[in-house]
Amino acid sequence: MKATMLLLALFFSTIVFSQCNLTISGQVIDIHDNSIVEQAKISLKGYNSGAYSDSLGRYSIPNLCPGSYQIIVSHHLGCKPLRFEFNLKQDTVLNLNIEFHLLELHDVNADAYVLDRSVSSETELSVRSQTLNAGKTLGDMLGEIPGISTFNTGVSISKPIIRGMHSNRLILLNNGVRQEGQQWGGEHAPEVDGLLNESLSVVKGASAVRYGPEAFGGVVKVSPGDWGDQNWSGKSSVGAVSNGRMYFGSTRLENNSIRFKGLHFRAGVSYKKSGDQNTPTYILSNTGYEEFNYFGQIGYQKGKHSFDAFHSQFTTTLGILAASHLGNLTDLKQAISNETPLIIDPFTYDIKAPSQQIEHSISKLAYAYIRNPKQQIELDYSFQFNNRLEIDEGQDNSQSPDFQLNLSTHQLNVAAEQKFSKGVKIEIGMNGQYQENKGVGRFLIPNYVKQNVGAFLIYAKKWDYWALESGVRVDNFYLQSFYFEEKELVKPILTFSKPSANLGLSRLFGHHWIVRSNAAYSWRPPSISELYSNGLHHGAAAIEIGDKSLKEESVFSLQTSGEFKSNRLTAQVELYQYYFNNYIFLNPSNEFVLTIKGAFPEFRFKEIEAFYSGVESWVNFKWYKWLSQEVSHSLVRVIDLTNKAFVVGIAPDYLQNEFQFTPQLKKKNINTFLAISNSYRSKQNRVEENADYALPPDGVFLINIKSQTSFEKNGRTFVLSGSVENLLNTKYRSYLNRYRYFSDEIGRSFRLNFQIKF
Amino acid sequence: MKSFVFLTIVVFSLFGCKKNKIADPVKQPTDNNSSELITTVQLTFTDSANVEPNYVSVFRDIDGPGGQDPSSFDTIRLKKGTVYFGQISLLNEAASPTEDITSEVSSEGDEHLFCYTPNNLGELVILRTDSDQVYEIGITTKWKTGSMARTGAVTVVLKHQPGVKDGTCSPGETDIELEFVVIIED
Repeated sequence: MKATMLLLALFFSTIVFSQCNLTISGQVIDIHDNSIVEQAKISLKGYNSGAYSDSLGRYSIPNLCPGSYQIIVSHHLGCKPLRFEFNLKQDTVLNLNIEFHLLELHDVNADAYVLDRSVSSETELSVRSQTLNAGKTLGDMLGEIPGISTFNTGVSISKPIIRGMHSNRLILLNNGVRQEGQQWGGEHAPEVDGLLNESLSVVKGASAVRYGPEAFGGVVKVSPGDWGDQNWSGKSSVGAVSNGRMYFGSTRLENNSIRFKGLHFRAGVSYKKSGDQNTPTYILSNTGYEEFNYFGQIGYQKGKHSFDAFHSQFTTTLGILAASHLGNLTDLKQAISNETPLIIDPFTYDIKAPSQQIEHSISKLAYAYIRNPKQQIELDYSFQFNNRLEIDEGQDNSQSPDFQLNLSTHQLNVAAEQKFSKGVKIEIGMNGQYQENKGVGRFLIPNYVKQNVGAFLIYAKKWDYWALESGVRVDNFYLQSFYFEEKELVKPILTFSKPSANLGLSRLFGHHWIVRSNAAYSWRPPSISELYSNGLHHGAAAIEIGDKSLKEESVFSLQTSGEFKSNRLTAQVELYQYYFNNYIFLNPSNEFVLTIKGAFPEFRFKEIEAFYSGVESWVNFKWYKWLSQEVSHSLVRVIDLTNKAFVVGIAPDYLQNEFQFTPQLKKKNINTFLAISNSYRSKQNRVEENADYALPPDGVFLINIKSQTSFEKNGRTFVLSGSVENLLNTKYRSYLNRYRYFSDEIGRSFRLNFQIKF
Repeated sequence: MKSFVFLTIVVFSLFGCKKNKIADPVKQPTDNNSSELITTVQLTFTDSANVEPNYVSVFRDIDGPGGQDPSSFDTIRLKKGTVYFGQISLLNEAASPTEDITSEVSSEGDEHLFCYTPNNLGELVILRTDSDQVYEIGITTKWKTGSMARTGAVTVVLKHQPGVKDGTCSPGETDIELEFVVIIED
C-alpha cells in the first residue's frame, strides 16, 4: 500500500512539478570526519542559480525545472571544484558528502583539499599565479606550474617543456581545439593569449588517447574557463612591467541572459606592448613586441541540447634580437666570443627587421546532446588559420616579407559517453583533421596537404579505492608535399598508420595518499621539417637536412606518482621513463658544407634510440597559519642510446624554494599575500663536446618577490599584484634560451597589475 | 536587446574572418629558390701593364647553400711582381636569364663592403679602388703581388651594412664569405 502511495505521489509530482518550481536542498558534509562544510558554493552549470551552505552546512536552490543538471560544488578558498551530473525529477534532498578536509583558520576562513581520483593528475595554474604573472607570454605563464620549464628565444618567444619534451611532442588544446601552428621550430611559440584565458592547466604524461597519439610529454589545456552564474560578470585588468617598459590591459565580460534562459555569452579583448628589454648592463635591441587578441563565445542550453560558438583571434608582431641575425658561422663565432651583443641601440618601442608577424584565428562550433546523466554525445567542428610572416634584415618593408607561411586546419570531433553501473564509463570517439600549408618566399618547408583520421575507445572504472582508465586509439595520417627538386615539381605521398594505447591505475590509501601509475605506447608521424628541410637555417647557422625515409617516432612510457594531502602538508613525487625506439633527432654529422656564405656545420634528421627518465617533486608545508613553505624540484636525464651520447637542449636541474606569508587580517574582506622565492638552475653538464657552438652557461641563483592584496566589496573584487623578478639584478644566461649565444638574460624587472572582478 | 547586438557582431567575426593572403594554390608552389640568390662569384684579373693574359676565377653553387656541392671553386693564379686590376662580379645563374647582382650591390654601395684578406701570401697588397662617396666598396680592386712565388689564400667577404657602414669589415651581416686558394707563380 505504502509503495503504491509513493508511486502515485511520484506520478503526480512529475506532472505538477514540470513547471519550474522544484528545489534541491541538502547539507554539505565532510566525509572525512562528518563535520559540517560551510560557505561551500553549490551552483548549476549554465544556470543563474546557486547557493552557499550556511553555518549548519545547509543549502537550498529553489525554482528549478526538471531536467539534467551539472552540479558544481566549490569553495571560496579555491580548491578545484567538484562536478557531477544530476537528473532532477522532483524536490530532492541532496546531501553532499565531500572529501573536503577543513582546517579552521579564523572564524569563517577555511582551507580545503580534495584528492583527485583520476589516473593522471591535471595541474592548474592558480588564479593567484595568473594575476601575479599577467602580461607574460603563455609559455612563461605555464612555466610557473611546478615541473614545467620553457624553451625561449628571447623574451617574447617561449614554449612550454614538459618532461624535457616540447613542440611536436606536446598537444596544446585551445578551448578544446588542437592548436595547429608552425610547431616545428624553436622560434615558433604557441599562438595563444595568456591574458584572456582563465583556465590554464597541464596534464603530464602520455595518457591522452582522447586527443591524439602525439602527446608524449603531456597536454596543455587553455580555455576561457567555465561559464559563470551571474547575470553580468566581468574582469578588467591593467598592468605595467619595468623591463621593456611594457604595458598591457584586458577586459572580458560575460552575461547569462535572464530573458532567454540558457543563453549566455562572453567576449574579451587584450592588448600588450613592450619595447626593447634590457639585461643588467645593456639593452637588447629590437626585442620589443606587440600583441592584440580578442575572443567571443555564445552558448545556449535548452533541455538536453547545448550549443556553443567560439571565435578567437591572436595577433602579434615581435622583434628578433638584432645581434642574433647572422650571415654565417664566422659572424656567429664572433657574436659568441663577444661579451655583449654586436648591436646595441638606445631603447625604443619600434620593431625593426628582423621581425615576425603572426596571426592565428580559431572558429569553433560545438553541439552536445545530454540524453540523461549517463549518456551524452558531443560534436564539434573547428577551423584554424595561421599566418606567419618573417621579415629579415635589409627588408624593412613588411609588404615583402622574406617568407610567409599560411596554415589552414579543419577539425571535426565526435565523442560519445555512456556510464554504466558500478562506476564503469565508456567513451568512444573520432577525430578528423584536414590541413593545408602554403609558403611564399624563401624555402623552409614545402607546401603540403595533411589528412588525419583517428578513433578511440576509453574504458574507465572506479572502485572504492581503485580507479582504472585504459584506452586504445588508431590513427592514420596521409601527407602529400609539393616542392621543387632540381627544377622539377615533385609530389611525394607518405602515409602512416599505427595504434596507440594506455593503461592507468590509481589507488587511494586512507584519506591522505593517492598513488597513480600509467603505462603507454604512443607514436607520431615525422613532421614536415624533419622530412623535407633542406638548407640553411638562419639564426642557427647550420645546414639542416631532412630525411624523406624517416619512419614514425614511437615511444613506450611508464610513470608513477604519489601524492599526499593533509591540512598542513601537500606533497607530490613523480617518476617517469620513456623509451623511444625511433627518436627523430637533429644529429650533427660533423661535416662542413661549403656555401657562398662560408662553411656551415651540417645537421641531419636521424632516427636514434633514446631514453628519457626523470623525477619531479613538489612539497608545500604550512608552518603556521601565516607562513608556508613550498619547495619544487625537477630533474631529467636523456641519453642517445644509438651513439651512447647525451642529447642537446635538455633542461638542467632545477630547485625552487618559496616562503609564503599570509597575514591574518581582522578585516575579512581583505586578503594579502607575500612570497619570497629563490631558485637555482644548475649548469647542464651532460653535453657532448663540439655538439654546440658554446659551452652551457653556469648555474644561476635567482631571487624573486611577489605580493598580492585583494579587497572585496559589494560583490566586486579589487586585486593589486606586484612582483620583482631577478631582485639582485643578476647577470646570467640560460641554457634553454636560444639567445644565450649572444646576450645575457633580462635584468631586474618590476611588474604591477591591477584587476577588478565584477 | 543588448545580447542581440552582441550576437550579430560575433556571427560576423565568425564568418567574415579571413581572406586568403596568398593566391598561389597549395599544389602549385613557385620555385622560389632561384630568386634573390647569389650563385656565382667571378673574379677577373687584368694586368695593369697589359703583359700577362687576363685571369678569371669562378665560384659557382647553382642550388644555393646545401643540396649539391659547388660545381666550381677555382684557384687564383697570378704572376709575381705584377699589378693587376681586379673586378668582382656576382651573378644569379639559377634565374633565367642570368641576373647580374653586382649592379644591385653597386647601386646600394653605401650599404655594402667587400673585404679581401690575404693569408700567407707575403707582400701581396689588395686595395679597393672604388667608393660610395664616403667609404670604399671593393667591386674594383688593385692587387700587387710580391717578389716571391707563394701559395696561400685570400678570403673574400661581402658585408651588408645598412646604416652601420663605417669602412671596416666588422659590422653587418655576411652575404658572401669565400676563401680562394691563391698561387703566385714565378
